[in-house]
This record gives sequence, C-alpha cells and structure tokens, in this order.
Amino acid sequence: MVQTTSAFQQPDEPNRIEPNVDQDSHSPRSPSNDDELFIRKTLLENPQLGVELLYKRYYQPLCTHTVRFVGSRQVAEDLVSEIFYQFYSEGVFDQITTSYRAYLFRTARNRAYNYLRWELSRKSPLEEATPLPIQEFRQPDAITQYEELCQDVEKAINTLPLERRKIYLLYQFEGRKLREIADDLQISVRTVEVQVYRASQAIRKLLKDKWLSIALIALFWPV
Amino acid sequence: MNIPITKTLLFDYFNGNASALQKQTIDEWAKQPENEEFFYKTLAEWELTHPQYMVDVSSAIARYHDYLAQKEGEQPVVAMPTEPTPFPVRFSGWYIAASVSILLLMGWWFRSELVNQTYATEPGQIRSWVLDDGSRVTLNANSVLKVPRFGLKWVLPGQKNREVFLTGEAQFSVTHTQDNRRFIVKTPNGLDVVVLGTEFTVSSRQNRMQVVLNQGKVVLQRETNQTMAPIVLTPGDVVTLVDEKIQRKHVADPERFSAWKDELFVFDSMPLSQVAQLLRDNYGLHVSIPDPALAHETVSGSFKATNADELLISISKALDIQAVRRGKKVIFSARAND
Repeated sequence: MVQTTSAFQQPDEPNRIEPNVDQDSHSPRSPSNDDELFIRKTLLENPQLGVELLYKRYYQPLCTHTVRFVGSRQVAEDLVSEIFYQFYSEGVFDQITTSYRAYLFRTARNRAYNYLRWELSRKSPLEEATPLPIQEFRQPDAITQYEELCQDVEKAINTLPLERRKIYLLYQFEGRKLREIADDLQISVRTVEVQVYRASQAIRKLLKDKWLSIALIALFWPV
Repeated sequence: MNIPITKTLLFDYFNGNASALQKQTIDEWAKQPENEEFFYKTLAEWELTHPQYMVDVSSAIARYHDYLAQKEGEQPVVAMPTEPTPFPVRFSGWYIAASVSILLLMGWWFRSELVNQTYATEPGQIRSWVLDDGSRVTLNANSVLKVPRFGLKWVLPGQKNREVFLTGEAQFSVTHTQDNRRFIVKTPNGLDVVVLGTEFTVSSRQNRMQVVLNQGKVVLQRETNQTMAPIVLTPGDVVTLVDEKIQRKHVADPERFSAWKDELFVFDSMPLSQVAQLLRDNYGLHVSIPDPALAHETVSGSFKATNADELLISISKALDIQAVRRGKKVIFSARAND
C-alpha cells in the first residue's frame, strides 16, 4: 500500500487510475497533472494552511451540493464545516488514498443523507435534545439514490404554494433573517415563522413516506 | 456496458435528465473504485456551474480560524514547526480559573435547563409523551412541562416525590409506583396537584387554573401550605381557581375537559368571550369582539378542529357570525345583513 505521506513525491500511485472511458468529452487527466498536488504538499508542511486551501477550492461546491439534500443553508454549512474541522483536527488527510475531492464529496453526501434520514425519523423534542450520532457506515448501496433523494427534495420544495416557497427559499437558502423577510414582504414575523414551519412540515411529509421506509428496509436488508 | 459514461451524461444525470437505463449504467459503473475520481470531479464541476445559492467562503474560513483559535491549547494532532509562545503558559492558571467560573456561572444560569427536561408544544400543537416513570402526559397547545431529569425513576436523597412543573394545559395519566411515591404537578398559580396514580387534567393559564379529575384520587394543596386545607377530589370533580378564589363543582362527563386531546373542542354554553380566551391560550391569537352583546352569546356543541382556522369557521357557523382573521388578529362581528 502506498503511504499517503509519500504521495506527492510519487504522484503516479496506483489508486489514481483514469476512468476507463473515451476521453473526447472531458479533459484528460493523467496522473502527472494531479490537480491537488499543491494542496497535498501544503497539507504536509502546514496542515492549517492546507485545509484553508481546500476551503477555497471545495467549500462552495460542497455546500451547494449538501444544501440540495438538507434544504437549509445553515445545516449544509454546518455539516460541511464539521468535515473540514475533522479533516484538520483528526488528521484525516493523512489517511486518504483517493483525491481530497472524492473524499470530501463522498463524506458530505453520506452525512447529508444520514442527516436527512435522522431529520425525517425524529418525532419529539426529547429526541431532538440528544441527536443520534451521524454515522458513516449507513450508505445507500447505489450511488444514484443520492441524486434521486436530492431531486425529490427539489420536487418537494416546488410543490409548495408560491408565497410559502418564496419565504422558505429566502430563509433557508438565502439565509435571510425572519425579521428582514417580514419587513420586505410587509407581513408579521410570526407569519414568516409559520410559513417556514409549514413548508418544512410539507417537505418532510412528502419525503418521509418514500425515504424513511427505504432507509428502514436498507437497515434490515441482509447484506 | 454499452453506454459510455461521459461528462455530458453525468451532467444530464445530475440535472435529473438521465433515463432509467442510463441511471442503471451509472450505478454499475460507479461501483468500480477506479471510476470514483471521475465521478466526483464531474460532480464538483457541475456544482460550480449550477450553484444553489451564493456561498460566503471567506466567512467560512473566518469561522475555521475561530475554530483553530479555540483548539489552541489543546494538543495539536500534527506537530507544527511553530515556536511555543510563553504567554498562554504563564497565564494558563488564570485561564483555567476564568473558564471554571464561567462554566459555573453558566451552570447556575441554565440550572433549570440542566436539571429539568422540558417538553413543550407550539401554538396549535398537541402532543403526548411517556415519562420515565411510565406516566403519560398530553400537552395542549402552547404549554410547557418541566420534568426533573433525575428523580422520576430514581429516588434521590431528599426527593421522595415525583414533581413536575406545568404552565399551560395538560392531561396526565399517572402510574402508581411500588413505594407509593406521590406525583405532584406544580403550577405558577401556586396550587399543587398531588397524585398517587390516576387520570386528570390540569390547566394553568394566566390567572386561571383548573383541575379536572377523571379517575382515581387527587389532592390539591397550596404551595406554601397555609390558610387552605387540602382539597380532596373525587372523579368528576372540577376545581377552578380564578384570582385566588376557588370554585368546586361536579360534572358527569369529566372527559370533555380533555377532549382537546383528540383535537375536539367541547363547549357547554361557553360565552364567546371565553372562547376568545381559549383561542389566545391555544393558538396565540388576539381576539376582539367590538359588540359587547356578542361577547355574551354562548356556544354549545363539540367541534373537531385541527387548527385555529377550522375552529374559527366552526364557531362562526354555529353562531352565524363573522370571524375575520388577519395574521394573529381575529375580529368577531355580527354577520352583515344581506
């Protein structure tokens, strides 16, 4: 097994094999132009700075991807930041054999998926008080399930009545304050609150039937 | 595998435009570990061209720096070639002292949250829980119940009773314990309901408190037990405390006082003004009835309503009046003659 610590010295490690497809439609990426080489080097010399470089490069696409699942900018950013923190504090980057990009996206998708499942299954504030640890090992067996899930989230958002959807997007995606939205739309803060709540409930309800049962089946499915 | 996996195909797939066959092909293809890199590279590229919202990366990096600053002092996982600064070392004792006192202060501040588990319902929401000791509680809308985290199940020294704190309205079905420990509902109105094992409803809203007993036996006593002799309730008893005055009556159907559990509102010649109060308690609505005669009209019957609007419609139909709701404000008025 190739040690990651030596990866930047020998970028032609066997794990980075090009996908076995015709190369006309996408830019060829040979092992020699490993586009994370610089970050890899920096991480070894100065992990703090290395993680910062990863932030600059991947934080935005990771957040906009995660938000497709969790439907809230705040939650997406928290989940993604947590991955970066662990990346640094637990020295995760030392053990990664794939590209950082693949690791970060895979982890973000798993956590988003598990977060959403946990969100759909919780019932009472009692459970909210002690959030279940988000675990990595429960993953869907097919990669297309992830996209199906976030497309379902999008569909669910699109079924909301116009006004409610507008308020939901302002609050959850644009990160506006309840107060600001209320002032803009000339309605009471309470109304905004109720609309956001109803929107979340409606989305939950639509997703719950399909995704909670799938998740449960997956749990009891013999491997 | 006949369909070649290209960037175009993956983009289509991310856009939700892939056919079922294409999806299946991607599934199979993605199972090969060597295809993972290409998949995520394409995904990253697609996300950058199809952003869901504008991400503020620089403030995220600022938060990352805060996080790093917080971690300072902890053992770094990776040894860094930075020189240790003497400053934190010399004052570390003060830092510890400061941290401890802040923690203590926070603990004191949030002592109620630390000691008690809080169950709460929002306006218009009804919910049930089973407590640690097996007792069941159903909270009506806009109510809060605080239960000690330790002590319902385990007897701590000096804590022989199961004490809970209620603001709002709730129905309890209390289990009886082996060692006859009493279940006590405390309210801001200063009247305690003492129970051994039974079913009853407590409502504690502003300056009015009501206890209705369905089954078993409960005792009411003053928190500071002077002046008032404990009142012993038998099933069907309804005790109301308004402005420090206690009224007691007996009803044949105590269940109707907990009908709200099933989203049912049972009114027995209830004046409209009291209905207004109920709308305020349960849904946070501000009701005004400009016509005093109308305020004295009474409503009877049982109404099924899952939200405030349904209840408003039922009431206005029953009385043939007009209810106009604008946000949180509701106005009851006589129906305009047509």
